[in-house]
This record gives sequence, structure tokens and C-alpha cells, in this order.
Amino acid sequence: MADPRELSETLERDPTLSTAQRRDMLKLVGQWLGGALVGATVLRGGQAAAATLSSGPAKQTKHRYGMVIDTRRCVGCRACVVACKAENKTPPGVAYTVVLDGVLEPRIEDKPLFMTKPCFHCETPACTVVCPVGATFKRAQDGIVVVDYDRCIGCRYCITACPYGARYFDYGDNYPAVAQSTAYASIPSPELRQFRHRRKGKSPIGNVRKCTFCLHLQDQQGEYDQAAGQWPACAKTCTGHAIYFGDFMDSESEVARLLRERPAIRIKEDLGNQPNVYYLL
Amino acid sequence: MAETITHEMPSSQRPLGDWSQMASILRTTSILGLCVLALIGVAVTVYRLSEGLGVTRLGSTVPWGLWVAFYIYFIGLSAGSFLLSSLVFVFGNKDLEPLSRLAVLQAFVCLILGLVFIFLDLGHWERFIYVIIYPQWHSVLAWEIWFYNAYIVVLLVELWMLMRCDLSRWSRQVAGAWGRIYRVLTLGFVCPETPEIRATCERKNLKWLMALGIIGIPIALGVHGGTGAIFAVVKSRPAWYSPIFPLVFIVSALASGGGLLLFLRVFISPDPEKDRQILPGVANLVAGFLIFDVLLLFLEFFVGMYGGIPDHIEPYRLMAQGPFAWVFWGQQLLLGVAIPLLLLYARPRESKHKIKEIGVAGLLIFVGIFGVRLNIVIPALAVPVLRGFDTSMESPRFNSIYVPNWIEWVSSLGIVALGILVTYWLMRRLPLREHQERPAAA
Repeated sequence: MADPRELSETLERDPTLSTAQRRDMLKLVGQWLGGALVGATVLRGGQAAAATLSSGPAKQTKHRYGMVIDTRRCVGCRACVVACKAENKTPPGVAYTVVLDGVLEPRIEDKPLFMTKPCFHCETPACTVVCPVGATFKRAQDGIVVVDYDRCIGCRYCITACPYGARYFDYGDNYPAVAQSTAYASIPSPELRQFRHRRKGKSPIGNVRKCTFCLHLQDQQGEYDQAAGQWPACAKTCTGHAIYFGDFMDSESEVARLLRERPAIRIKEDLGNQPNVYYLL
Repeated sequence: MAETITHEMPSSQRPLGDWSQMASILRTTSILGLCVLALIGVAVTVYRLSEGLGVTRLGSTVPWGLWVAFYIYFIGLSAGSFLLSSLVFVFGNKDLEPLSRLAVLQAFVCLILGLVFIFLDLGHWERFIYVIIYPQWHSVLAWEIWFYNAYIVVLLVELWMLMRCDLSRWSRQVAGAWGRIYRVLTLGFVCPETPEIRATCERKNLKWLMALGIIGIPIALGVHGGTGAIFAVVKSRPAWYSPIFPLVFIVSALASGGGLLLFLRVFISPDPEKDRQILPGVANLVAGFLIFDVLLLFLEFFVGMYGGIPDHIEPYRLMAQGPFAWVFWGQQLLLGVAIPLLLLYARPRESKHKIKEIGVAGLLIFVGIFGVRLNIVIPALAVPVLRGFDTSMESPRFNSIYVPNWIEWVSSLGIVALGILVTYWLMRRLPLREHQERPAAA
């Protein structure tokens, strides 16, 4: 996303005019500040970052992945939290999804209302614009917001900027199984299909980390396959079938159908981030 | 009038003011103390750099803490004293000229300290150069990097312009290694000996300083106003997300920078005869900025509390009633505002202790503004963006209560001590005070 040409493409696609204008202005200021020489550097840097984490050469928006979470089916068992940890092998203090019970108010004298909260992979993320080095960006092909661990300097500005608490810093803490170098520690994390081993001082330790919608489970074309189990770990494991995952650009997908049929809300809608995760009440 | 006579002793006989034997002992002990602190601090800093940020008490709910507070604090001290120095170079205030070198030196040292603190705060500090190679122009932080770079250049050139005549003279007067160093530092500039040419040279110098000052003012405003904007653009934190924030940064920078300048002038590098004339005016200016800063604080609270939006008032409630309310009431308001204002104004006019009181008031003001910095960074983060987020996992990294641990404190104090020592050494070795006596040949 740091590539200016890609950005201008994004601007044209931008659904709200006001946001597009704001970004045009920011871009103008940026160019004025940077000048042509540095601009060239950005271009090169941006391409490098995009090449690392995008799957395949396709840059056209093919998918808009997101979730619809039915709070009436959520019992607050936190199996999604555990499944995510097992899949991505996240350390203590990093949980790509958490279960909250204080955000959505239950109906009067109703049962407690839980919500599982992954990254919302917003249409206009607040986290990516603040990154000083362009290490985090929204992928053009499927809208998944990722962090380039080899670029991230660990300033944590994006953590403060995210209105949803979807970003975590990896402080290098370890669960006993990893700290004691058991067999578990020798298995790399499949995250981002980078298969990194956890080593002191090496990324992703010292980086900001976040949910990737388990994009390492996508096939070469960037498609998930629910029947084959190539599906985000939290949605796959949910005991009450509360987490629906899918592509909002496919009008026949389960998530698109749910949005048509039932009233859904998004958290902090007024901020204009346009999350791609909806909640059914 | 006996006191006045002692004040008129030539400054060369009392390198650190008109204090007696006691002062000399005090100086030696404090230098020794600072050396010990700096050594321990550097050791802890090296430990932190090799071990990673895991040794701190930071987490994912409160990801910024003491070091970020120190970062914005020192950037503020720097911008504040630079803006005060521009009163001399740009607005032609001749009365304040004796303060100008000290102000520019302070601006430079504080900027470097601020940058050291933000370097120390990076998860991957070895990649710090990425902010220059891979700037992402939507990020205010990326703009700031270039403001800092431009600011360093302006400060260095300005410092050199201020010292070059003295350096040229010293390079002829001092023998040995230091003479050679002074010669290198002149960069080939030779100060004219004849009075007429010298006057022309000095006029030219002033023109250059004025030009640098004019370029420097928007840069300094960008340096600290922009540092405020780093916070002000974050819409997820209502207590930061306010157009008033960059202004708060600039005003508090002027107050804290002025306070430090007053303190240094009175206690470290005094010139009682001149001080009596110029410092009360500067103190009035600094007090004005301080009062304006309190007004802005009041406006933030007033608008926030009146609106009553829970996410907005919670950080204010934490500040004023939370476990660290003493920072707000004690350090920020009592120590940093009330007592300095009393010291400056609740006294009979023309009191003989005036100058010392101004120095103490300056000290209290810049200590108080550190409380302001802590309260900018921490309370806004200590309120989780979603209710219950901080307790959703059993991990201290999710905790919303952040208290810096000894590693954070000791490394910070060590870095500050090192900064003070380097500054002290520079002040003794370089012509950083007007008509300073050259040091004896090494």
C-alpha cells in the first residue's frame, strides 16, 4: 500500500468521497514534503513490501474477506481464542482474537452478550496510515491488513491508532513449552506462509502482530476452501457456529446472504473505518 | 550595596557563579554522582537493547510509556528554547542576546536526548534507519523525522555561526591539541583582527543568524507542533484527538524550555549584572506561557467533561482521580504552576532574592511539565479502546495499569545524566557563553 500508484488506484475505488478527498490532500502534503528524490525511494520500498506479502502477481481486488458474527450463537467459550493461538502459535500477550463481554449491551434482563473480536480488516484502516515506514498495509487483492515483519521497526504507533485493539506487540515472552525448548518449540508458525521459528531478537519478536484471517490457508489463487478445512481457525473451531467467514464481493456467499437477511451492526461505526466484521444481535 | 560589589567581580574568576568553596564541593559531588548514574544507566540501556522490549512493563493496552514521555518532553524543551532564541535573532531583542548561545545549545542537546529516547523505545532499534529509507508519507511520524533532520541542520549551523569568531580567536591563542581542534571547528573561517572589518563581519553574522532563525521558526513549530500532531491525529483516543493538541505542545514547550533556560542561567552559567536586567522579563514571558498552558488544559477538560462521552472523560477521570492523581495535582499543577507563580509574583517588588527565585521557579516549571508529558501519554492509553479488553486475557501485557519498572527509570535517568555531563563538558571546552574565557591549554 505504500506504493503511490497503488494508492491512487485505491482512491478511485474509495466508496466515500470525503475520505478520498482527505487522502488526496494528505498525499499532496506528503509529496510536497518528500520531493521527487525521496518519492522514488518510497516507490521502490513500497514495491518491495508488497512483493513480500502479496500472494501472486494479481493486484486487482478479487475478494473482500470479512466475518459476520452471530452474538446469539456465541456462548463465550473462547475456543476461537485457543484455536487461533494453536494455529498461529502466538506467544503470551498476543491474541489475534479475544472474547469481550462488556462492549455490546445485552437486552434488559437478557443473558450476557459475548463477542469474539478478531481484526476487523477495515476498508479505511486507521492503523496503516500512521505507519512511518509502510510496514503495515491493506492488501490490494483481498483487503487483508498485514504487517511486514521485516520492515516493521516496532514503534507501536499503529497499536495506539487502532480503535478496536486488534494489534499486539510481541515482547518476546514465551509459554513454558517454548521457553523450555520442547518439541513444540521446533515447529514454526505458518503465519503469512513465512514459517518463522521463534528466536530471541528475531522478527516477529519486537514487531507488532495481528490477525491475518489465516491467509496462509489460502490457495495459490487466494481462495479459501471451507470443505477442505482451509478456513480461518476461529471460524472453523467455533462450537456454536457463531463465526461466519467469507467474501463480501461474492453475493452468494454465506456472509453476504446474512447481511441481506438480518440486521447487523459494526462497532464504532461513527469513526468511519468501515470494519469488514459485522455483528448480529 | 556590599552585595552588588561582589557581583561585579569579573566572570573569569568564578567560572560557575559567585558561590564559594561550598559550591565547588557541591559541583564535584554532583559531577561524580552524575558519572555514576550515567554509567549504571548506560549499562541498563545496553541490557535493554540486547534483551528487547520484554524487559519493560509496557504491554499491548499501554504500548507507550516512560520513554515516549521523555521523548516528547525533550523535544519540547528543545523547541521551546529555540523559539526563545529566535526572539534575539529574528525579532532583534538585544536585551536577551546574552542568553542566545545557551538557548541554542540547550535546543541541540535536548533534541538529541529526545531522539535517543525514541530510539530506545523501538522494538527493532537496529532498523531505525528505515524511517529515512522507507518513509510512508501518510504518517505524521514520517513527516516528523524530516522536521527533526532539518532542525538538526539549522541548530548545528546556528551554533557554529555563534561560535566561529571565538573559535577563530581561540585557535590562535590555545596551543596543542585543543588549538588544533578549535582550528578544525572553525572550518577555515578566520575572524578579522581589525575593528572595522570585524564590525562588518559581525553584521554579516547577524544577518545569517536572522535568516537561520526565520527558517528555524516554522521548523521548530513543526518539530513540536508536529510531535503533538502525532497524538492529535489518533481518532481512536478521544483525549488526544483534538486540534488543540499541537498548540498545547507548542505552548508547554515554550514554558518548559524557558524554565530550563532560566534555571541554567541562574545556577549554572550566571552573569548577575546582566541577569538582573534581563531575567525578570524572560520570567514574565515564561509565566505567560505557563498560564496560557493551564488555560488550554482547562479548555480540554471543560469541553471533554461537558460532552460526557465515556471514552473521552475516562482519561481525564484517571488523571484527576486515578492512582496517579498526584502527578496531576502535585507535580503538574502545584509544583509546576502554583509554586513557580507564587515565587515569581508573591513577593515585594525589587526583592534582593529575585534572581535566585527566578531560577528556582524555572526549575519547578520544567520539572512540572514532565508531569504534563506523562499525563499526555499514559492516561489516554490506559483506557482500553473497547470495554473489558484489558481483562480479556490473563496476561500482564494486557494490563491497563502501567507503572514503569526500574529498568525504564534507571536507563532514563542515566541517559539524562549523560546528556548533562556532555553539555557541561561542551560548555567548558567551547565558546558557548558570551565573552567566555578560553580554557587553559590542555
